[in-house]
Amino acid sequence: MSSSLFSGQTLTLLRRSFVQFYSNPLRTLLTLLGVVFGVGAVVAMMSIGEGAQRQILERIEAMGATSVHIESRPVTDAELTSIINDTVGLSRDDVRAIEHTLPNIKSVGYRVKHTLGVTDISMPAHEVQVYGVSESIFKAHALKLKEGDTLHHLHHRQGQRVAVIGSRLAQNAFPGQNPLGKVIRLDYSYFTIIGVLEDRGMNAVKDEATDETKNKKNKKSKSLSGNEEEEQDSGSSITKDYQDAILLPFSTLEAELAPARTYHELDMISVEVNTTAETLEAKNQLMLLLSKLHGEHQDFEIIAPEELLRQRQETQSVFNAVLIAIAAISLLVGGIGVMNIMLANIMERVSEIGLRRAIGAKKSDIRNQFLLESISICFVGGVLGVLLGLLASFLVSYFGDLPMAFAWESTALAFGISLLVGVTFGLMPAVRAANIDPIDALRGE
Amino acid sequence: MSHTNTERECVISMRDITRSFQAGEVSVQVLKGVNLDVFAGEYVAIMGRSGAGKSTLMNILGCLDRPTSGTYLLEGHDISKLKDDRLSTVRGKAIGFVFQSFHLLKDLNVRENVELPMEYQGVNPVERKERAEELLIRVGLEHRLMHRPKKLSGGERQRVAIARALANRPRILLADEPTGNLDSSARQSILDLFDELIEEENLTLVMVTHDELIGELAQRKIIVSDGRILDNGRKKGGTP
Ligand SMILES: Nc1ncnc2c1ncn2[C@@H]1O[C@H](COP(=O)(O)OP(=O)(O)OP(=O)(O)O)[C@@H](O)[C@H]1O
Ligand SMILES: [Mg+2]
Repeated sequence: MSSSLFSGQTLTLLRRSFVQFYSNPLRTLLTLLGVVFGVGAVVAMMSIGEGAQRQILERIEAMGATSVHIESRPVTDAELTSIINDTVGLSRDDVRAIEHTLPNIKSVGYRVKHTLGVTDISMPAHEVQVYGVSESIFKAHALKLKEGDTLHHLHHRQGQRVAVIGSRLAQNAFPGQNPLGKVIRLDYSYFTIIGVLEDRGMNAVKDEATDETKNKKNKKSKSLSGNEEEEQDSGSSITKDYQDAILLPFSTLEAELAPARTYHELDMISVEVNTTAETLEAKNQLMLLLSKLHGEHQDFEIIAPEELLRQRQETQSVFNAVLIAIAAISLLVGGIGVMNIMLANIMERVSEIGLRRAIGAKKSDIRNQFLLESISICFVGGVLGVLLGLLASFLVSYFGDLPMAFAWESTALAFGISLLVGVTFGLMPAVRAANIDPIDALRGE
Repeated sequence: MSHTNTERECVISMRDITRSFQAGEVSVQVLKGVNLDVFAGEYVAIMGRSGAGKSTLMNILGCLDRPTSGTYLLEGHDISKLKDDRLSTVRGKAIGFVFQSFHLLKDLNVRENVELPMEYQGVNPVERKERAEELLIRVGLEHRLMHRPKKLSGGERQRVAIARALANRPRILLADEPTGNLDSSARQSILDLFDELIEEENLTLVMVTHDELIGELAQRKIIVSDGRILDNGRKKGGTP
């Protein structure tokens, strides 16, 4: 009767609790489908959610978790006439104002983007993104160099014709060669390559597919229209990589390429603060300042990394709501199925219950026996559900271009859920079994 | 049989036991005041017409049912007021049941069936296995340990059931028509086994039977008729 003696029984009881699987395998498995799908949905949801979460975190890390980005917003001609007197778009005046007004900022970087034709490299002539960047953009966008040098203060001051290029451009343009010291021609100017950027882990992986196809397209058709390019990049320029880009000192780009002046002088300003927590506060301050400077016209957009995370989570939560609904319905159906099979099972085994009671089983022994059986059934459902969920999330991430990461918590949760279903829907039948009168049970054969 | 049994322990003592069943509005009294003493080591046959109340009496004897009124002392303890859980334990420890239809669990093998009563008393698996094997040797089924009940003959099944009934070393064996489903040779071997067990283990056996021959074999033949004991079998032999 002691608990140590009981532990000796546990194994036998556990083994016997799977009795349904050898006495009625098909019926049991069919009944389980609901539990399997329910648990599967939970696991899929968590794996995909975890993947998305990791991806966004890595992106934020990559774009600088402590930076707030101000992007220029395209302005239509119609809008332009009404606002032109109040604002000149994103400019270096804004940069100076930010530097002077905002407390607690570490640095302010800025850049301008142009699409230009390159010809002097071994690749067929094609258009590339050329960025004129300030020195501190490297820190604000968390750019690291694979080889060579970054763009220094001096390069900027003297407007030197030097360039840092993206890793993939380096590979494609100078296969098997050291790109450092090579010269590329943009319009009618020549630039010496002094550095190559490092790949950006996750970010690079994610963008691989789209960039690859784009690259091929670029190679084939020299004249990809600027508009299209603009469209593809809009809204995602910070998360975008610099893999195929050419970075020049801002002053050099101004002086050497003298591109046609657009409404916005800059396409982005990035403000680096001390901690991620400060980014939201900084965003609010920037919003106040820039709104004032731009005559209350929203020709810019401010993005804080935390906010990006939140946006992503919102999308995620819609997806989750759907899966939770599927999970809940499946688990309910599965649970009722389990209850049903347990009731049928008990009806078939009335005389067994009577016998067990006659030879010394208490009501609670009978109740626990059947509870354990329903839990075991659900546990098997849980195992199959985890496998199904992993398969589903693999397929979704493979075909649906969503990242997936296996979450250990999901397995724990899945087993917790199957246990809960087993207990919830097994309790009523088990209690009913325990209350069967042993005399009736022994007589009715 | 000839010696006096004044010092023999009274294992079953029933006084004015009644049992009524509620059938809709009316209450039907099935047992109408039963008085019964059974002593350790006795072999008692209970006989009587169908519907007389033999099984109802056996259910109370076996602690599967409680009397509506009266007192029942089992090995000196009043069990008429015990809680359900305690009653289960008493059943498991003090009484062994043998049924007409064997009631072996089809999903368990012979040895596991015999182990079952010990599981509910918390006997550890090693001891359980040893005891079950010992009992199965005793009933002559050592070559059938791992068989499923389905593979056994009726007589063999009843032997397994008897081994199971003895698992927790009870002093009282209750059998409700144990030979009712057996052919005559199997019936004889089961009766012989009962005789041996009573001799060897000082078991008390109470058996319901319709078979006059068995009734004659028993030390006492109790006749139940219409919910009362007509003849408590004390007249024959030197019982006080
Ligand atoms: N739970 C019950 N509810 C109502 N009546 C019952 C109940 N159990 C037994 N009875 C009645 O009590 C009477 C005696 O039944 P019991 O089973 O004890 O007879 P028995 O002597 O064992 O008969 P048999 O030799 O046919 O087995 C019967 O008339 C039966 O209908
Ligand atoms: Mg009967």
